[in-house]
Amino acid sequence: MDELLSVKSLFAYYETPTGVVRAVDGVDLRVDKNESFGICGESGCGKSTLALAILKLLKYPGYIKSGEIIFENTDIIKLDEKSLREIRWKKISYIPQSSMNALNPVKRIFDQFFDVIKDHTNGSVRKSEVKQQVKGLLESVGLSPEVANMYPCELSGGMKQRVIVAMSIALTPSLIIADEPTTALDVIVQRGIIQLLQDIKNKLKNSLILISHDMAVQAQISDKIAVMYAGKIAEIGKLNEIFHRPLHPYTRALISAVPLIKSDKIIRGIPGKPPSLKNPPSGCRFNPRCPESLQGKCDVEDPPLIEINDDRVVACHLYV
Amino acid sequence: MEINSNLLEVKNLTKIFYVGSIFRRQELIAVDNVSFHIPLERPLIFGIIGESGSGKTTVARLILGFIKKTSGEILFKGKNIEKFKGKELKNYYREVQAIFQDPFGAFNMLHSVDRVLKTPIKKFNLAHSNNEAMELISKSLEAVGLNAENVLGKYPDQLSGGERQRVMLARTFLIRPKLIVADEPTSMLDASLKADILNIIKDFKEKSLISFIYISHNISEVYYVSDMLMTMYLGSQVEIGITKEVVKEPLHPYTRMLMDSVPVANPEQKWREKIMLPAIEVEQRIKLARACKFYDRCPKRMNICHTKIPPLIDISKDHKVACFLYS
Repeated sequence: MDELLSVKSLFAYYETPTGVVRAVDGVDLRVDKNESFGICGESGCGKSTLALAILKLLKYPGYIKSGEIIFENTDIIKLDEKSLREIRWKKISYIPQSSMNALNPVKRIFDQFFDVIKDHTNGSVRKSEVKQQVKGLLESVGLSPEVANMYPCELSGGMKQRVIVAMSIALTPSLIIADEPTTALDVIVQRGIIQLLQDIKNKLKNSLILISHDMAVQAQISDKIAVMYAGKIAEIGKLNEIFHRPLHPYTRALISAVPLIKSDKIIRGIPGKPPSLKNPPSGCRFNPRCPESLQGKCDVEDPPLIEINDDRVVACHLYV
Repeated sequence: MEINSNLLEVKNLTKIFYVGSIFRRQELIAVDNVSFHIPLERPLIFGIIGESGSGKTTVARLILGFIKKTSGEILFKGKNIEKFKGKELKNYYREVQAIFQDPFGAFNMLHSVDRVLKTPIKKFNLAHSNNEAMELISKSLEAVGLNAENVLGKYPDQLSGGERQRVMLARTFLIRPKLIVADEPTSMLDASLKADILNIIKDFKEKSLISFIYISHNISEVYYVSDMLMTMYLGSQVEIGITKEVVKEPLHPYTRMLMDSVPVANPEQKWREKIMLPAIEVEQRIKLARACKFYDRCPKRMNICHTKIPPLIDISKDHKVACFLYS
């Protein structure tokens, strides 16, 4: 498959008065064209920071320390604000966490669409030209065209989320980054939104990075999954491989923590909690919680990223 | 039925909120004629599922006495809870405890874990000396898988969400209630921490004989913990039965839709059909429904569904459904 985005040894930190938070600490990954790429892990392991870094949207005190983000053969990190504007939304759109609250409460939905389209197309469009387009966009997410004339407070959470999805595809981007797009939504609405993202991917032939801590959601939509732990990649692999042959003990623990309907499997939580990213444990960051930790190895040495095959990497001493 | 055969009995419970201005007052029926019971003789986890706005939380708040019902009855050990005063009321609040969704909002940031745990001991005279109190505290912390040394003396901001929810569970455990109303206790936690909370709840039931009302929109979780299950839709109970039975063969089209929409953490079990979300939503509860409330979204609607309210029909001893497909 053709490569669309590749992140190479990316480091993104937050500078705080009590120390440096190493939220993204050496991440490598590759997203191909027309691929759904899932990123999962517990809260506080750097998923959202990674998303913001890819868009170069990290604001002070966060910053990209080093690394490369190659998108369609250009390094995003080296671009200035003006060229970034050309990429954001047109090429890469972003659905932030709790994006339902991202809508302006005192503007009609149509005007918010218009602002987005105007801002990212050199400001040379007129409202009347956009009208038909907005109607089409709303229809593509299954909303009535009447919604264009409504205010956000008149819409339910699920409808607002669909408006956001419609906005994210307004300029037919080649990559959509969705950060927990369905948390706080009901199951039926969640299913609707996830299926919508899938339809869009099939229609526009674009790629999707889906950030979600919910392994069950990942299982429904992703082609490939990256498991992150404490700012680092624990494992990347194809969906089936991750679920049926998880290599990293953390991936195994994540999967066995999810209750399955119609199954009498006993679920187990993962003891402990993710470490502080200000001073992570030495060696493998998962070693204090890992049931298979090797003394004298895992708590001392940082595990290298081992390539199992073309699509599969794992960072664990068990596979050296 | 004998008077004292149920720990909690909810009979035809209805709650109507009035919304809008005084000139355009509208009725919002949050809970519409709901009945269920929790037996006295054995502990039971009673799961309530439904979307947001289905009235789950309102049922919880009515049982906890935070708001007053519009009509119907809530009986605790055969007695109407609204009649409780003084000692009886205090006893009710001792036997019925609550755990909420937000483990961050439930704490006063300035109170240490010790204080959180000591308050109920003082309030209900659970211990006669400080040593006894400390012993009680460390026992209940142990019951929720926390180490007393690691949490005592700490403040809420030094604990993770999962630890806070566990301290809340430890606090209820101290009091040894008969019933815990748990309103979405895991919805703000990571999957890895959810599992622990669910296991603690099962443990409380089995070892300490505490019953639960477990409210959640996540059916996999409710399936994992509960013995009985009730589905609510826009304030009405549409199906009620033994959890295993309902999940194996959901009867109401809405329960079925909910069941089919739960994502399964297995790539071989993907959603089969596409789901259509409504193109525009109207607030239905405001109108006094004279039809099945699920009519607009139901894949199996018939003519009768539009003209009559479906009654709750007995399918078997423990399985009831409100749908004309089965009458």
